[in-house]
Amino acid sequence: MIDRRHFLKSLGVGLALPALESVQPVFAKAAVKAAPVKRLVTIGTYLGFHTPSWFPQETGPSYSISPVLKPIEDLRENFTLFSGLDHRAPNGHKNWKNYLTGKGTPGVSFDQIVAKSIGHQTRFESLQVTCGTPPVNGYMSYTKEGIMLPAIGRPSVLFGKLFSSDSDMARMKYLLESGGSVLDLVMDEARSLERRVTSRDRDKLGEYFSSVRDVEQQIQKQRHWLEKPSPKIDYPLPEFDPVAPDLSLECESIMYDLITLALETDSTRVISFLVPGSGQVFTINGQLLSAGYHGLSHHGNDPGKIAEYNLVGKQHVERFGKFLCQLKERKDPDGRALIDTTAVLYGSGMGNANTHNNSRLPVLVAGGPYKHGSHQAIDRNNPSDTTPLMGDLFLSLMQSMGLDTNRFANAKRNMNEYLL
Amino acid sequence: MVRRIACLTAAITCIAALPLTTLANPIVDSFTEPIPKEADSFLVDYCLNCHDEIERKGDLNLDFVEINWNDHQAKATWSKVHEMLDKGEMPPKKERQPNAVERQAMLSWLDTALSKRDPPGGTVLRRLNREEYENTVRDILGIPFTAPESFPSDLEYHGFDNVGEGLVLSPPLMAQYFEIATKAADLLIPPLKEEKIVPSETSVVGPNDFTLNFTTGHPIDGVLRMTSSSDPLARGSVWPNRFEAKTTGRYAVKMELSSYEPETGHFPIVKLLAFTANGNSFTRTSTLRELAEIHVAGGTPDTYRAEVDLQKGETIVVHYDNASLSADQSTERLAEHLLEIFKADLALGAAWKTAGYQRSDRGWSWWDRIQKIKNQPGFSAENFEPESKETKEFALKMARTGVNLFETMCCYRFFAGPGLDIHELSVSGPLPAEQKSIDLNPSDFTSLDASGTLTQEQPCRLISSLSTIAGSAVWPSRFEAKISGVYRIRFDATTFQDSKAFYDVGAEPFLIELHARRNSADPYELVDTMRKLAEFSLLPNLDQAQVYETEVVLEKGETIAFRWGNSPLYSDSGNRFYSPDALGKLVDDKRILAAYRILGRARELTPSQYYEAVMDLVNSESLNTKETVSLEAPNLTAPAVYNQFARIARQDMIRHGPALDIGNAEILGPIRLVEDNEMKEQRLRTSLFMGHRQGRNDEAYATAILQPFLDKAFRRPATGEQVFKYVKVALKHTSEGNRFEDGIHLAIRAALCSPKFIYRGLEAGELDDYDLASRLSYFLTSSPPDKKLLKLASAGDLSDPETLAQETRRLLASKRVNSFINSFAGQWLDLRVLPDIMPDPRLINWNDNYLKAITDETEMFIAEILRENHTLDTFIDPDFTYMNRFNARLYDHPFDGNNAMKRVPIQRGSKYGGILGQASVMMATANGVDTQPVLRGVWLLENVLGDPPSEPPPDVPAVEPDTSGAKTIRELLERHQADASCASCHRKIDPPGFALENFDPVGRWRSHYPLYEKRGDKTVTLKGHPVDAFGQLPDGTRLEDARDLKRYLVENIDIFSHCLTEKLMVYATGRPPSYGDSKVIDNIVAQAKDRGNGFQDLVVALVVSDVFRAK
Repeated sequence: MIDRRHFLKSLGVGLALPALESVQPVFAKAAVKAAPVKRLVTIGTYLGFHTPSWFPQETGPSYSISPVLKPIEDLRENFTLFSGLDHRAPNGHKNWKNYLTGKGTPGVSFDQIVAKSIGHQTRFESLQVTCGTPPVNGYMSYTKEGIMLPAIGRPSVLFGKLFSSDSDMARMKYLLESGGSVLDLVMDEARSLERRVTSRDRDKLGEYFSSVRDVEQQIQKQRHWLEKPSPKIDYPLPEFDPVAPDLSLECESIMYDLITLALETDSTRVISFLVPGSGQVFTINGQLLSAGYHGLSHHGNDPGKIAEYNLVGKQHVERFGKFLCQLKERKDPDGRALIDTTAVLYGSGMGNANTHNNSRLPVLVAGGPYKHGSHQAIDRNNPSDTTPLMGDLFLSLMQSMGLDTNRFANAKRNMNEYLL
Repeated sequence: MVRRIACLTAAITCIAALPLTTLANPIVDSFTEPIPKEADSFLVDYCLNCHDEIERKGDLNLDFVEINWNDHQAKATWSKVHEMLDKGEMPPKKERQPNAVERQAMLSWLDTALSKRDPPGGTVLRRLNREEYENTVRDILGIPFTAPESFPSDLEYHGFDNVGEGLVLSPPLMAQYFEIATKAADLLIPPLKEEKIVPSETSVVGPNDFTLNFTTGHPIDGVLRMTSSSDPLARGSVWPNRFEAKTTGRYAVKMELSSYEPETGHFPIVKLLAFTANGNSFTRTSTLRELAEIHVAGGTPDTYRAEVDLQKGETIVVHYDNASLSADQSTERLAEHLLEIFKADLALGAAWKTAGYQRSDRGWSWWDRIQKIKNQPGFSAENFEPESKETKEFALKMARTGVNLFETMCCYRFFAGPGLDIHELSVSGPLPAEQKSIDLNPSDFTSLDASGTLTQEQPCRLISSLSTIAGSAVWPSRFEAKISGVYRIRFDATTFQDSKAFYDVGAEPFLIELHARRNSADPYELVDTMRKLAEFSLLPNLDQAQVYETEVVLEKGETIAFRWGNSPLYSDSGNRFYSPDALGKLVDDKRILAAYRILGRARELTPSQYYEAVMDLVNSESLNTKETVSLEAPNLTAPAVYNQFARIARQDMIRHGPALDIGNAEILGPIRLVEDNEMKEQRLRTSLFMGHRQGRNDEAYATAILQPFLDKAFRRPATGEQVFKYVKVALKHTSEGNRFEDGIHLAIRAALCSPKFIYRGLEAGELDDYDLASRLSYFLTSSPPDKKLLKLASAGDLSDPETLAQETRRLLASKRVNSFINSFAGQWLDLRVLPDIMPDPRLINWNDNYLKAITDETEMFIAEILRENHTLDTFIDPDFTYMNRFNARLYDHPFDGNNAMKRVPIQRGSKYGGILGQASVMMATANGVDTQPVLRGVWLLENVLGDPPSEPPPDVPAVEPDTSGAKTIRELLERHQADASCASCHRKIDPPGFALENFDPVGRWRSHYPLYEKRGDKTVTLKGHPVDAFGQLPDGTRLEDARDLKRYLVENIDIFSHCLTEKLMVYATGRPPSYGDSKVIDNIVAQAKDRGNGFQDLVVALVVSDVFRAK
């Protein structure tokens, strides 16, 4: 008979059956080759940076540090700066989310590809973090089914998730244990239905069976993790979650602390962190700025506004610098400094916030076993077939983590020669 | 022979392609029919040259000797063959053609076979889509429910997201269902949480600890100064950075305030408002709950206090209510205000005038610039005239910058005043509640008009539902709330009735009402004026007393009154006396009536004695009802008559029942000072769901709770066996050491993961009434069937065509039909893509106001056609549309309104209006930057003409939009005409697409394409090539532009009717049409035409047809 898929196509219908999730059993892990990079942290600022103040004039290893990057001048040997990279993706606020997905409409973000590959080794496959309430278009992580992953914006909630209280754990255990009875009952119902329905419907019901079985496996996995006691951490959480927009810089620092703790306790190995921005008026070093953050990002080339925009930018970079220092000081469960085996992508999905342009994104890569210390400039003015794309950078990072991928969005090479 | 081998391989592939389940299930035999000789010859002569296994033109192979009708694809294939042959599109014109007889014979054979083998029906088992799921969960929980952002979206299939094949159930979705099931169960039966006592804390908020937006406040001289009042929160109010109520409660607020340089007679008024700390800063303060109002006395700081009630998570907004400066003022008023400032400070005025307005001047940056000019050495205000016409015009010009000026004026006032100075704010709380407990037994209760209400033996026997408190209620003699707050009350109650009772309540449950009552209130006021606190029901004839407990909010001075709500002795609404109907029952009893007449007034007897006397007579054998007295019914409204019968009734009920006896009670409180709204809603929801045990054992109680719940969840009555499965699981869970409630919680989780909840159409065989009810309801409201539909289904009446038609019209008239309009139009006309299109800014400065206007226009347009049953040609060429000032601007149409959508008459045959002239459709069929005639042509063929083209060949390059305007789109597409293989489809696609070329990517009519030219920093739009919208349809019809297309479609309205009916059918039944379905659709279209072609009629005709009722 006619090949089914062909025929569907010719009738003008495309049916994309999502591949069934395969959940690797917890103990029988396929031998993952010892990958040099074990952890991935991706960070993006929603309102970008003033790129003329971010990109240094010179390239190569002896570039003079740019004004916005001054706070991490002493860490220059720990990161590589890139200029001229982007996804060739559409512009606008709405398309900030292409930062990690690379496409015009949400596809999968590369951190989730990594999460699906290595996430089974930790309690949480991945974590998404932000400060307070993120903007509507500012979601960084997307699954391959196109599901946008919501981010946690309250320090107390993130802390509670990572280091659950005893009563939380008890409730979770209860729900998981009783969950088995729930699924047994509905599977029983489905089986008695199966006998009565037509053969076409039986195929449909097949989706139900395999989906429920998948959930059963997820439950097993989560129960396994709950057997292990959650680490008891002594961290001075503030009395009061700083979720007010003017306190977002304060929240940012606390979130960096919690991210470090998450990595140190091996609670997860894939974290994305969206640093948001809206109309809040910051007070920096005792000085109340003259306009809201969003207003500053639309500086209209006014030097006063640019200066204040850079003050905020430097605040972000300074706090990022403190995070990098923590990664240098803290150790992973094997006793090595976290930074050696953690790749950090820092930058923004917004190229020029003033014009909402998303080309020439400001990004840097820190940590990992890479050869850092340079400013690698990619010639964006005359792009050829071999000009690297942002996706190529992602491919390098993924490959360092042991993933067998050589395609991401519109990228098909890697940038290993710039990093290794 | 080639063909024999081919057929063998075909047979083998046939078997290999059979789904395993079919093989495993021999009951289902394969319906293989050999192709008859004549048809076989036809295929060989006219089809197989191109459509055999090797050539496979158009990906189609027809080289078979038999057809396996069990294969779903076979039906679709042969249906298509029939269609192409019937339309004359196959064989292609240049190939050898069958003569009329041969063609007819082939068509006839196909028609017979297909009618038999592909009858109406074929909807595959489908799960609820996202919207249907949301509405169904909402229905079950009784609260609004939105699926989380992380829900995967549904796939579109045949244009709609509710078609069976497209509704895949994937593991991530199942995981979501599982999680939501737990959340829903938690909402019905919350997990036991220890109520933590939150200790009282004080937060001190200094001048630098407030959230500021723009120029809402300025820290200066050790205070936070405010100088403006505005409705939007972010323009005129401040709130603490670091305070939010950790728990619901009462908080003591202390503020140190003073006014700054007030003008004479101005006393700042400060309002404290409640605001959720995480909320949207542009909320309007007029919508926030007011906590306190403070009048600031004067220039020296003073302390002001207030006690406010806050819900968990709220903070306190400080709102300066009566400043003269406001962001909400008109331009003229702002200008006047500015002139006042000029008059008060001439130097400032002069400097301002010199500074003028430069782009991005705003607030402090503008202020600094003006100050710089003012402070220049030698700067003089000599020639400045604040009253001159020139200055006035200047002020108006400045005022037009709106908030830019407003914020800068705030800067001035921060220094010059008048202003409000906040020195400090401190919040202490939650204030502790001192709980006290009081135990009451029946003798501790009071009532009024004790006759009948209280007896020695039964002090709290309630017998009537008189509408006044006096005579119907009891309340504690020595309890009233000393402080307002939440109190917990616990009491027990029994019912009483013996065999001699005159009134009989049968099995009706007793309604116990609790009301709030002040001892000072008038006991003869109607109960309706009292606040009802709670309601319980009690089954009659239970031997033990039932215990009830609840939490209620009482204000200071209130107590709790108990009342029986549904006694057979009741008052009519609004009336203080017993209803004549209630007493009339006594009158109807001839013996009682006779006794009454015999006894007469009997004024000397007490009520009790009177009753005894009546009963003696009634029971005496010598009572002769016919001869002694008149049995004419007395006038019950006459007071004397009324009183006597009332006595009889009451005395009977005291002695024999029915009556409600209140036992012991305990009141504890205040347990909290403020009712947490969320907790209150939760308690109500749980008690509604769980009902009351009423002395039943676990199994019976669980069944009573789960049966109605499962009926609702499954959209049909759950069988005893099905319910028992759930009850068993619940009981097992309880037996493992969990609470009874936990067992029910588990059952809820399972029900919401059950295939019977997730899927529609699970029953074997044809659609029964319940399936019909579901199908109709989800079709027209995207929600599960309501009570009326279910009632008709249970009576078996729904399948009656008249009833079905009636119910259809009922649903179409309800508000919920908006779900249908939104979902159907959103998908049929592709409106759902609109929010993601960002039109080229060179084309237009697009914003959400336009988006809303054009979407509303189309939805309201279709809603009217449906509601008014307009004829189908109205879709194409109407004499009305809906506009507000935004889309009116797009259409260049005169409009004298503002933002509200109004119905606007337009000329028939004009360029705008209808689905071929509305901006929404034009925008959805373009990409925001260019128009593409092929895209629009394909869309028209699919959605208006009902003749979808085949997929393009795989190697067609995309058209590079030449924005330099050098080549017109027509020139770029000329290959479509030149190349024969392109032309076969494009002769159908291009002409209608080009006809719409006059509509630009946002739906405006244009006679020329735009030509963009960069001139320095700016881009200028010039007139490019003229638009040539000419096209010629395959049947020769010439279309000069869109207006001709409209005319053509109206004249051949059946084309559109057919297309629309088919779309409706796919949406309504969740399947593409089978061969049999198509024939029924043809019928529906023809009959609708005979009946006048009304749209509503068409929808009804579809529902009562075989198409809708076939599975």
